[in-house]
Amino acid sequence: MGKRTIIPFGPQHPVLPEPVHLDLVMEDEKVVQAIPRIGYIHRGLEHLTEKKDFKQMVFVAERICGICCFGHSVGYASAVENLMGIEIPPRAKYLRGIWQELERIHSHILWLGLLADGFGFESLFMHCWRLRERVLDVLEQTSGGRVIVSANIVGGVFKDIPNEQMPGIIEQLDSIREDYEAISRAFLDDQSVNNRLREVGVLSRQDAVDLSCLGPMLRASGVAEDVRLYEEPYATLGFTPITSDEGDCYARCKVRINEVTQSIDLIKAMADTIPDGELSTPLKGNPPAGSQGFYRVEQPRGESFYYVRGNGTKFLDRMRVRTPTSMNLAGMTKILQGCDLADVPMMVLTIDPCISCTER
Amino acid sequence: MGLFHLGKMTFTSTFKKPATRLYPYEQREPFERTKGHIVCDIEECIFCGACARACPTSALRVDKPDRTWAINPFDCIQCSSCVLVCPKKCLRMDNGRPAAATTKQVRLYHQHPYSQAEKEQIAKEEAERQAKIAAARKAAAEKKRKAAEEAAKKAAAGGEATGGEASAKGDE
Amino acid sequence: MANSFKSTIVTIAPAELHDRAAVYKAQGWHYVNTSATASKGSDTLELMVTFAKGAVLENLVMQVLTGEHVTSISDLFFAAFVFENETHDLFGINFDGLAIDFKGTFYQLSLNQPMNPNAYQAAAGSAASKTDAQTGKEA
Repeated sequence: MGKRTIIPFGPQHPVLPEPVHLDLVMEDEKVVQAIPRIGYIHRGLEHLTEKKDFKQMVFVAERICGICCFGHSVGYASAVENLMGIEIPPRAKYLRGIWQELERIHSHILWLGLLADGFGFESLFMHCWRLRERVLDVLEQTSGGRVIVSANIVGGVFKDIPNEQMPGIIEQLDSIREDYEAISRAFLDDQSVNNRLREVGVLSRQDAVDLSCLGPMLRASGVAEDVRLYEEPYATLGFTPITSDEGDCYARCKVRINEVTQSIDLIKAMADTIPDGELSTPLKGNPPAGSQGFYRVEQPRGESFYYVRGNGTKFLDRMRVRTPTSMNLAGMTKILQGCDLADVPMMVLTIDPCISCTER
Repeated sequence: MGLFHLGKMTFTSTFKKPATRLYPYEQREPFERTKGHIVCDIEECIFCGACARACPTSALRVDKPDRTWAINPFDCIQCSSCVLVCPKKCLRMDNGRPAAATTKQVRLYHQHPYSQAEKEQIAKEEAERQAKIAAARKAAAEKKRKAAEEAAKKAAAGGEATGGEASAKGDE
Repeated sequence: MANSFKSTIVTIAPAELHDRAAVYKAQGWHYVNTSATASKGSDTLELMVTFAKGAVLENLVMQVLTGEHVTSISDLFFAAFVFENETHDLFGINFDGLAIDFKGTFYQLSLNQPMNPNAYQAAAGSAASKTDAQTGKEA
């Protein structure tokens, strides 16, 4: 048996995207065990329901995370709509769907850039982020904000994408897609990238289900589970979740790459079939006492769960957000066992960690 | 082929202009809907305070007696809640990014600013009005007191026993 | 409904949690959430554990007191350790048999059990807890 040492990894490390701390118990060059630790950016956002009323909390929920913001505001607003029994107009559902898919595209391209940076391929990182700027331009043209879109209110949306603007947006997305194909070839076919990603961090299908993994991490191990199948604009349009069978880092990278092209297709389908009508339903009164609301959203990183409870006043009793990275941390500790030290950054990046979501 | 997939992109990038911009000498035109800063059309404002109550960060301060509307642009998160609740629709989101500054400042709008002479005139008129009210009250109180004295004198002339009681009550 | 989710709420006793979780695991449900809610004016906390299969959500709800011991389900669902540690730090419910037990240091907080108004109202003498208790009663 080799000598055991403990290497502390994080929360500050050039290759880590988010502040998570790992105590890596090493035997020579192999990791025997990894103990995670979070809590560096706990802001107590769930406690703010005592000070901000339920209409102002949409903007607090949006600022839980800097990458998956729109998903959180959709989830919170929809959970309160479920609680109060409000049905939002169909145009609002389609608009929410379009912005959610745009957010998925920008989040995955951001992740691809970070993955390239993680194994040292900085010029590919810069190419990805330069492409992402064009996606952020589309978001800014349609809503006013590059990342923080601020279009949701309880009852619908208050910003509109006029039908005349849709063809221009589709044109921009098509040109983004051409450059994106070139970048994704670099990830999938390049020899040096393959050496870093193939056969690394293998998670079998049974393990992925036992450890309650979510999102692309689960789908890359062969389980076709996607909350969008049950959500409104997607259920009508019909789509198949993208899966892969190998379960290694390469499979997760491939799933995310293909999800971007699927999102561009979904945006086109939504822009073609978007119905006309109102943008929001007017609200009456406060959340009734003892009422509860639930909702699930497919964020770029997995499934998010929202629970709200009202007590008759304008302040909610409880807002609970359960984000996907909190569940994927368990999967991460499992795949870290038995890997090489040089593969640790790949493992951490492959779950697409978003620790600000985890800790709120 | 497993090598150099970025060849075409890298080669063409050599001849195109850079992807970055020489800020602040070159600045990008903001898009029409960019969330910039809140502008108030102060002449329409009725100082109801709905915007200040809706603001999630308490960046707005509305003062009805002073007829001022103030925003702290460093607290504003550009969420447009105030724009949505305004009953007179006098608030809008403008697309210019707020300028950087070295100290935090508050932007104040004041409706119908009165000049000094106008303010003095108004104060004088108000003082006169108050004096008239005070004089009228005093006169009414005088009259009441005199009426009470007359009634007491009549009651005293009426009888000894009731007069004694009345004077005891009067002492209290 | 904006989506086709069905969510049901089942009220149980805290002692039944582990057995019911084993049944869900055997039937192929996946674990979603553990969280607690504190209501003003009530001295019990409501612990909610959620499971999902497809479009259906089932929530097991139980009333617990501050400091009560509940059997952890992290031996069945390993990912539960994150939420059980968090609930322990924020609300003060103890979970026995945690897979990874941080013993109260999961989040480094300056107030003990900040989301449980009963706990920090009980900490007499501190000015912060007094003002929070007042706003809690007013809101």
